Amino acid sequence: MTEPEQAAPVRVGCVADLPPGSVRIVPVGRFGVAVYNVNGRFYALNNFCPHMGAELGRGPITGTTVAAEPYQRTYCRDGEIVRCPWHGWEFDIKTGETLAGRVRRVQTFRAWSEDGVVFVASRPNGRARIKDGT
Amino acid sequence: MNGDESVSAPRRLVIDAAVHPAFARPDGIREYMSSEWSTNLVLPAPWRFAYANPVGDFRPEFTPGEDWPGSDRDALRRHVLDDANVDLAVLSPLGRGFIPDPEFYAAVNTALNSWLAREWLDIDRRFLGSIRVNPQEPVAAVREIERWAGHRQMVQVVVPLQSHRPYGDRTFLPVWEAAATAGLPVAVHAEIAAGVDFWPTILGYPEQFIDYALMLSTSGVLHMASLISEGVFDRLPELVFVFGDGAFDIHLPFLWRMDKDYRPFKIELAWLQSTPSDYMNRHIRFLTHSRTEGPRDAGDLAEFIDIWGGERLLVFGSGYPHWDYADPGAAYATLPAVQRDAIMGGNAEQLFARRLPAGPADA
Repeated sequence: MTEPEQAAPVRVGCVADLPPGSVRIVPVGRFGVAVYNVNGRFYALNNFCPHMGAELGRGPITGTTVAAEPYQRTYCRDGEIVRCPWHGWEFDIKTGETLAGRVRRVQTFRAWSEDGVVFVASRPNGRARIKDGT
Repeated sequence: MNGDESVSAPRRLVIDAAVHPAFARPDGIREYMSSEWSTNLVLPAPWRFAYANPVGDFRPEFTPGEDWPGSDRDALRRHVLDDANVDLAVLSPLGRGFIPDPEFYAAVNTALNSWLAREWLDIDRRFLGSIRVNPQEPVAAVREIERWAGHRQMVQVVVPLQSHRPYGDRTFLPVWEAAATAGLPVAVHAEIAAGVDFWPTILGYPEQFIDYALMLSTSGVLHMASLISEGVFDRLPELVFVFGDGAFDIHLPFLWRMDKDYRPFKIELAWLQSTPSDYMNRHIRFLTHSRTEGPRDAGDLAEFIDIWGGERLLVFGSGYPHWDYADPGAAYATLPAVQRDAIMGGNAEQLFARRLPAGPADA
């Protein structure tokens, strides 16, 4: 079930208590980890915005806008994006990447359900890339 | 890197991208207008009534007699090209300000462009021209751009810096489309004539000329921001804007702010493919603003030009024959050769590449 180098998974709660579109912050690592249910699948992000350190898990779960050409704005990906509660940076819940310019990425953790219970890994997936400081 | 070793290398073109020729008498423009406009109707004067320049609008040595400065072709050619060792000069005569009747305004612009082609471009291939249009009236502006698009020496479209709305506004789009279709950059210059005045600054009416002159540059960066955020360059990926009137020295702090705000407010600008500063680097250039802006110390100036991107963004324009004329022999003389060559000609060469004669000008 777990890779050899991974520490023991942490129990998040019952699947029934984490319905699609919801988030739960669990005490993993220095800042906690925000575990999301996006359309029935579970994802987890470090509860620390790589911009200035806000609690990402307290940001609204939302979608984003795209445009094939100027002024043709379309709202999409509802439920797949978290906006930082401080400065509004958008992060893809599934990958931890910022949508604007991909300057930074938030750490992701593996999350899954098993027998009606949600688990999250206690160590992040690899290392978050930090390209520059803008 | 040492310039002494490259004696045999071909000399880089030197291009003066801001020269302002004029009619010998302001009424001379009537000869180029059809009778329904040239008879009876009163033209606005080609100078400002308010915010007069306390030291005069023109350099005295370029004002030899009764005629308007910049009107003597032989003198201009000598001053701007031969004596200054400049290869090519982009001529952009100023207009008559904003005229409320759009057809009258269009007739003035047509006359100005016809005069420029016949009296200047036709007599010397080293003169390059500007198509002056009024973007507030896109139909007439597009018509005028299309009229001159095939003229090999017309290298840019020129519009006033003053505007009712920022230039990213969708009402102007047909004008920029016509410029892009013709392969021409759009230059933005402050109009100094006495037509209907827009607010002279974004804050309204200052009391003195110094405030008036200073605040022109803020309009440039606000046009720049608007063009980027409204997606003009997403629609017209080849289009380049060139700002006169001193926006270079303040553009970078505006862009720092805009890049930063782009992240939280990206949902408003879903069409942008990258940060605003990426768009600026691809689509915006700045004329040198007559007097060299920046630190006075030579080392500091080179560093400032480096940080501010001047080697890519700055295009030399002397402003001849205006009071703040910059002598191309002396301008940026302390800069390293790479920076100076780019500013004095290389950047303009790229900007106007599609219209320039092949190969360097005759030595």
